[in-house]
Amino acid sequence: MNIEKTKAQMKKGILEMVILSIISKKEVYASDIISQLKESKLLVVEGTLYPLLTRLKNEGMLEYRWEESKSGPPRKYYTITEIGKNTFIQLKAGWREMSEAIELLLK
Amino acid sequence: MKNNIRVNINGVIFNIDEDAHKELRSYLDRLKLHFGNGKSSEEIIFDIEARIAEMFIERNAENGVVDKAMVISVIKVMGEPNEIFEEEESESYQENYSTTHNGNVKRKLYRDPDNKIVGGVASGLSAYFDIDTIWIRLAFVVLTFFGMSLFLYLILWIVIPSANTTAQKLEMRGEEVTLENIRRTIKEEYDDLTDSFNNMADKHFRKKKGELTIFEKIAHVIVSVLSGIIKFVGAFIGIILAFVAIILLIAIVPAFVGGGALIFSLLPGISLFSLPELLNVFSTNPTEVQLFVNSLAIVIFIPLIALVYQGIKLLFGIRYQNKIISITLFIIWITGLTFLIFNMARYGNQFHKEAEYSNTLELKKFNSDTLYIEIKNNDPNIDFPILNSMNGQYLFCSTDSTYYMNPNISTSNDDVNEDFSIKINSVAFGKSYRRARRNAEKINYSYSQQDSLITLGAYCSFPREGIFKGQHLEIKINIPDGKSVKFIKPELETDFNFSNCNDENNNYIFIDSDEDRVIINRNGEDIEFWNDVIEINNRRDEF
Repeated sequence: MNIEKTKAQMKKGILEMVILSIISKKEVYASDIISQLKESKLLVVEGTLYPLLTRLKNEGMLEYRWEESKSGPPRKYYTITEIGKNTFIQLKAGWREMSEAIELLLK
Repeated sequence: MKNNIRVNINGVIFNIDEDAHKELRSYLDRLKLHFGNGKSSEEIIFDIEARIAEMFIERNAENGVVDKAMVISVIKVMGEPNEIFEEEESESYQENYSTTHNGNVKRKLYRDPDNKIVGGVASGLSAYFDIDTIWIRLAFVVLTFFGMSLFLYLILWIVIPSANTTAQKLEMRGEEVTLENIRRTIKEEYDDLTDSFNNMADKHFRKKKGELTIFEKIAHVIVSVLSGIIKFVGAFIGIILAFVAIILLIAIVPAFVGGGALIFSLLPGISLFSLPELLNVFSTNPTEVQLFVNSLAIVIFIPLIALVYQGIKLLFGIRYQNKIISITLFIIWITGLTFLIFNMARYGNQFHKEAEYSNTLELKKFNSDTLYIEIKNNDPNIDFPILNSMNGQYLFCSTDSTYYMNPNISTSNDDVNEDFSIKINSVAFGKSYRRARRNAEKINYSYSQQDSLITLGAYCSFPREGIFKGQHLEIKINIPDGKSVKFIKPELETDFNFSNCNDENNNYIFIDSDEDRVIINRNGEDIEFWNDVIEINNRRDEF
């Protein structure tokens, strides 16, 4: 068994929820999300983030606006939407349920 | 020594050496291959490039050069496509990504509701046979001329089911119904939808993407619904116009070719039994006539054909527009129209002046209170009429290039004179009064009297010199108080209905030699008599 692959499978469903969590706290740039995810070791390569961000945007969970920056071109500034907030709450609840059940099973 | 290339990544200019450029280029191509084409994919790659630019800036590339080592380290951080997808998607994503639109599985016939113009029959059929929808639609147009199209289409519409679920749509295209394919199909549809939504957003509201407020979104929907309705109504009208145009075309073409266009005998003024014949009335110069015919054809046919063309485009959703052809046709049309107008003005000039030449018949005395009038056919060599006016006068042309026309006979009551009187008016037009008068004088007419019987010729004649100058004959019969006029049934061996007669109450009397009857149209009502004689009295209580 390829442990890394399996771990990656475990992370798969979670990443979107985590991104929503980060954005729900305050408006952020993509690089802020990346650094938080890297800190928590949930992200290995940065490229993973962008398809997820685009998908969340297409599903209406988040939106962005352009922010001028002094050094360089404008950047996308992400905020969570109402739909995103509601989805996040439900995902969080689902996660809590799951992790409690799994903790029990792992004992 | 290496070549230096200046690149623009997300609006930031970098100097990059050729090895590094090759490396970066190849990485971006791998990304494009992985993410595919589509609005979302473009956005992902845009974001990634922006991040790459940021990372270059962090490594101080703006003040120096991006080299291969920097590119490689940035790629490592960003991740290769297979590393990305590992975390982003499930494993089987890449395998199924290559299964694009193969269509290897057996297809099922469905109607395609996403690509429909009317009912999706044509697009469903084209999916089943794996050919372009244009051919199926053209086939329907051709079938229309055999009258089968509509019926066939309706039957197909009712019988063939619609591909509503994604699984059905996949079956329609002959693709395997796997979970991945379904997911991919949904994603494609969603992308198409958001693409068109975003396009509309860009067009109507020039704000940045993703910034539409609720009100703007509502207004948006209203606008698109309204424009949809308008487009539909417009298309409907366009198609109806096209049908009318086709019918007109079918009706008119024979006239131009010289056959028969009997439909046009309903139009007052012209009985287009044959257009070339008709035009000889207007001009004797054959080149002139030909030019006239051509310009008339241009003016009539070009708009009709254009209408038909537009209708077909609307009906089958073809959006092809060729400006050059349109402009050329329009110029040709304007030229034809100008020529036509010019010629008609020139012709109208011939009718500038009207002259009337009056001749009162000297009636020998007779002892009768009734005047009998018989109408005798004085020329059997006439073919068919060329022109007819609204009050029943026909212009004929015989083989010896003489024009013939039946006179307009009217009666009036005369309370002053004691005797009958018949006045014959020759009327003609011309460029000047003198010419008009001369034209009128050239009208020949014959009549004779035998006691109380007056025999009138069925036709007046005039020589065919040049164009027709509106020559006609009016015969006015005055009926004194207490006396009457009787018309004897004409013995004509012609095919047409003859003559007309108005009394002062504007009753229209029509002597139909063909059917052996006289029709009096009194106050708009037709009253038929089967009679040998028709009597017109100067007695107020009759008629």
